[in-house]
Amino acid sequence: MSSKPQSSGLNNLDPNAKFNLVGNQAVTRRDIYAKVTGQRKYTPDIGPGDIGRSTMWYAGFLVAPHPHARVTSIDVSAAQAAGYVTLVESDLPVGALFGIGARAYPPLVSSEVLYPGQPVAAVAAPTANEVVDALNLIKVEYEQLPYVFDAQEALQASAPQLWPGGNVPGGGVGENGAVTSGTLTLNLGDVDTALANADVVYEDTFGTSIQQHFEIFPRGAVAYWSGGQLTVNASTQFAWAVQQQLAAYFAIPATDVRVSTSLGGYEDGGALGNGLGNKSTGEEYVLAAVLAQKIGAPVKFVHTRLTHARTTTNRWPLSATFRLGAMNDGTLVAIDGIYTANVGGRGGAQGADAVGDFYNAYNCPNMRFYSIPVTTDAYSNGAAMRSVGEEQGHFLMESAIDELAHKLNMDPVQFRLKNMRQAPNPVEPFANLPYTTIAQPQALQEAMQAFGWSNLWKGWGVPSSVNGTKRVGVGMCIQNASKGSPFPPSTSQVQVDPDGTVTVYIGLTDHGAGGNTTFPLIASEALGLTSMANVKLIQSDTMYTTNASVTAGSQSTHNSHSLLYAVEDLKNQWFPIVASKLNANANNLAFGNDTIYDTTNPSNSISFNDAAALLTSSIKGFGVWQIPFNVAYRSTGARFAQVEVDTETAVVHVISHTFALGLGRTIFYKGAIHQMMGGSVMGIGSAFFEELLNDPSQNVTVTPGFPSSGSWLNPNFHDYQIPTIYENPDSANVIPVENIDPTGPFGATGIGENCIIAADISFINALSNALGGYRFHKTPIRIEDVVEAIQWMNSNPNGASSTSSSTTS
Amino acid sequence: MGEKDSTAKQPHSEESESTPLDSKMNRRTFLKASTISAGVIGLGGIALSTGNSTTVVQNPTENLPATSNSDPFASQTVTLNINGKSYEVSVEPRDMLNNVLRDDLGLIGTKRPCNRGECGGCTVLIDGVAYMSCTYPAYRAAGHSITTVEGYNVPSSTESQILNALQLAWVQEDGGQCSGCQPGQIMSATALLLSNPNPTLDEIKAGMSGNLCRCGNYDGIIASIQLAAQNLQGGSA
Repeated sequence: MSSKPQSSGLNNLDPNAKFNLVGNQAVTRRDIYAKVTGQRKYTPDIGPGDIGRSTMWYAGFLVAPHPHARVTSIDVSAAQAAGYVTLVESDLPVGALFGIGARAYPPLVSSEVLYPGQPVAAVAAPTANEVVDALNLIKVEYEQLPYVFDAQEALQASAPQLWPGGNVPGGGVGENGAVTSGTLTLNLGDVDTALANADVVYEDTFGTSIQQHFEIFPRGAVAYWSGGQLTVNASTQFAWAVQQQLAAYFAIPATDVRVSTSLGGYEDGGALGNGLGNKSTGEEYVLAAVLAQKIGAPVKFVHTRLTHARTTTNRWPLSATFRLGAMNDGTLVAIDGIYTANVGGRGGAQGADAVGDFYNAYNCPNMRFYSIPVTTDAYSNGAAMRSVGEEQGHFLMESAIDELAHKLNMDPVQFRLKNMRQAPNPVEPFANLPYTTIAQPQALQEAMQAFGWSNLWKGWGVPSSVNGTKRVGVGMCIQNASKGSPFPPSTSQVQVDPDGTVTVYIGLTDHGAGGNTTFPLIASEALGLTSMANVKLIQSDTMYTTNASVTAGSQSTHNSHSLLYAVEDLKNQWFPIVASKLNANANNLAFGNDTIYDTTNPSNSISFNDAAALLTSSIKGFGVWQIPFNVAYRSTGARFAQVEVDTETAVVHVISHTFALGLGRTIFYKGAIHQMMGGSVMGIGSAFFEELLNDPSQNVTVTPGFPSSGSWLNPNFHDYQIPTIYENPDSANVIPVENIDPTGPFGATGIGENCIIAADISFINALSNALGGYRFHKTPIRIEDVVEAIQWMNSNPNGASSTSSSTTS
Repeated sequence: MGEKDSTAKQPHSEESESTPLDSKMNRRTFLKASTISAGVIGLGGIALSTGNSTTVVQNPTENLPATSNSDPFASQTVTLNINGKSYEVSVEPRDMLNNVLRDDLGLIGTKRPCNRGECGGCTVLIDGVAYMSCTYPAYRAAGHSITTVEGYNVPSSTESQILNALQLAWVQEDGGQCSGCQPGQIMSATALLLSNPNPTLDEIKAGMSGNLCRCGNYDGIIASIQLAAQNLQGGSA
């Protein structure tokens, strides 16, 4: 691909451009009325009538309750005798794997269970009630094996080895305990010398916990066969990957597999429910298809809360030991970081980028990062969850950076302003790639002003206010995150019919981010339309749309850039016809407000609908666009927060936060604002509540009817707590920073993941400020941790000026 | 084996009992008088707090269908009044109202996100009170007035009027992102405005605290409720 950022001729990058629909605050979410009146069907809502059938079977998983065990027997005879259809690993094609790339795995346990909740069998029954009956009739016997949950323990030679090559995926642990491969090392400058010469060296260790997506709608799929052709209606963020996997699994052409996130037809696509990364792929897609084939009827597979929580990818726990070096004037001179990623039983390959490439945030000449992914029995698979690796990476690094600024007794904002990567000419340091755009220092400066930092910040460990037992602190952080990898080119089509109807075909989905509004909005703006009333959308259906890459990594808005090329192609077909009507040169025609006009004589124009009526049949433009490979494609922003803690109850509440994020250009205003607010709320969960837990006991006595020790503890909304309306901040000020990105449509870049990144550490830094500068080391900050901080503060009345706030390890 | 033996029928009564919402007790009295009682212990429903007040219908023997044989697991035919229409449906004792609405009657506007009574995504109104339908036994709903998110155009129904005002406000204030939880949110908000037409922010939080939104769109939800309350007060809904 070209090294220069590409741009369609229709791509208006003027920062001051006036648009009809782009950034228009009155534009409402296109499909919301259908959703709030209960008309839109999500995957679990699909009934047999929706797919033209009269019956449908229901399916579910039997999952292993043990973290590490050998399956000694599975008896499905009673379930089969009762008329239910069962699947165990031996029923599946030999060697058939499912999953993405290095994470391919058998969809059912073949011999060893590697984490609590691994699927052992699947069943199908004619009613949802009977799925439970069928599962109860299956008897599985296990031989339990020693297990390991902690990444550091799993690195020991004496630890249970989960994989033949050892617990480090792609590598192993040598005789001396040294990890031999499967790791990542990045080195820039001379870290050791820089640390030796630094005025201040700060060393500390931080960590995070396993988190689960816990979307309100669980994953699911409906599969059915028509002859040799398979259709899967699935809650998937990447229909094309699932199509390829199913084709490979059944050894049939991909063209005989239709994967659709909708029910098809001219409407605003289907509805996925929130997709936070675990809806790219899953065992349910292939197993629903296998069961449907076996039964000869459609099968609907919808996860229960337990199987949704424990069979999917998770946000992996990441820990890091840092040595940071700075000069007395606040110049950051060295960052040395050793990261350990607990990537779960299946060992997500993505653990290798566990550093979360946070090294982009600071303009530091000497940096060294070493990361080790480690498999454990703690959970399934460390992989995609909203901002993969970055969310953890930001907590770790911004904890350490904040504490370094504390050591230097320097205002944390000033430390960032002095050291962060910013305009002009920001470059990614290791691969030496130029940024497409950066929102710094504008984002930090705007957020600081809007928040009123200079009035609220009283110094390290000095709260902004103390009222009885209630202390209010302020804190801040910056963010600088990758926006996914360059996936295959994104393609789309735009069609105009003689009646003036426009149809947008794009192989992306809307998982709450507003894509169903953003995509038609971009096409409509390019077509000069002032309203989307006559614009239809068909999203992510391998039969109707073409591959537009994965709906993930904050890339969808960027990937919808192909729509501008589709409109360009449409124009080339359409304008010659219009030109003959207007007696004009087609090259001089342009889209105006609901018109097509002659740029050499603007009064010579025709309405959009009259121009469409000149067509004898529909025309369709095809667009293709690829994210350039050799640029750094980053999301940058800054956060400020005000947090109250009651020292009597240890209850923490986020009073307010200010969040400035570079989004290139605001396309769908309401959606962008609410994503920024909502992602920040999710960050409150990350900071204070969310942790997927196992019973840590090694006592393996099994009580009949109850999971063994070592099993799951909280795979549900009651025990795994996500923020409720009570946790919502009293006020949220979100500031979209319009740092035009020339590679994005109208200069826009996506923001979906970037709305959660660093939210947790902004709140935690503020809490720290309220509690005398106590440094928290591990998320989530549970109430016990707050109690400990309060006790520390009470026994260190000079905590603010004390340097003992960190329990340096 | 085969398709579920459901005797779900199309609505046979288009016109329902008009239910003046300022006289809940009268309606309850009417509904109670019209139901059959039987001596089987039932499960209690779970009520959601609706701002000022929490109402729990807690009469375990109420509304149980008469058992015609000794099999406690036998299906029974019950009549459900949903959005002003009557439906006859065969239910197992373990069938929750949620299963019946979705799987038997195709009323999929009521969602089933957790199926454990934890997230509020399946909330419906029973006699104007918000309940999680996934933990509300279907047979207990017989004889009561059920309102789902599809019930936004029931004539002469204050519930319906509030519901639709909320749905329109939800569009205006962008109350939902992925919107998987929103039908439940809106039903809880309907119950809230029914009992408290002009709630304060704290009352909104109390009324909505049983409904989770993973997109974290609580600001949008609060703004939508405030707008709907304002529109209803101004009579413009």
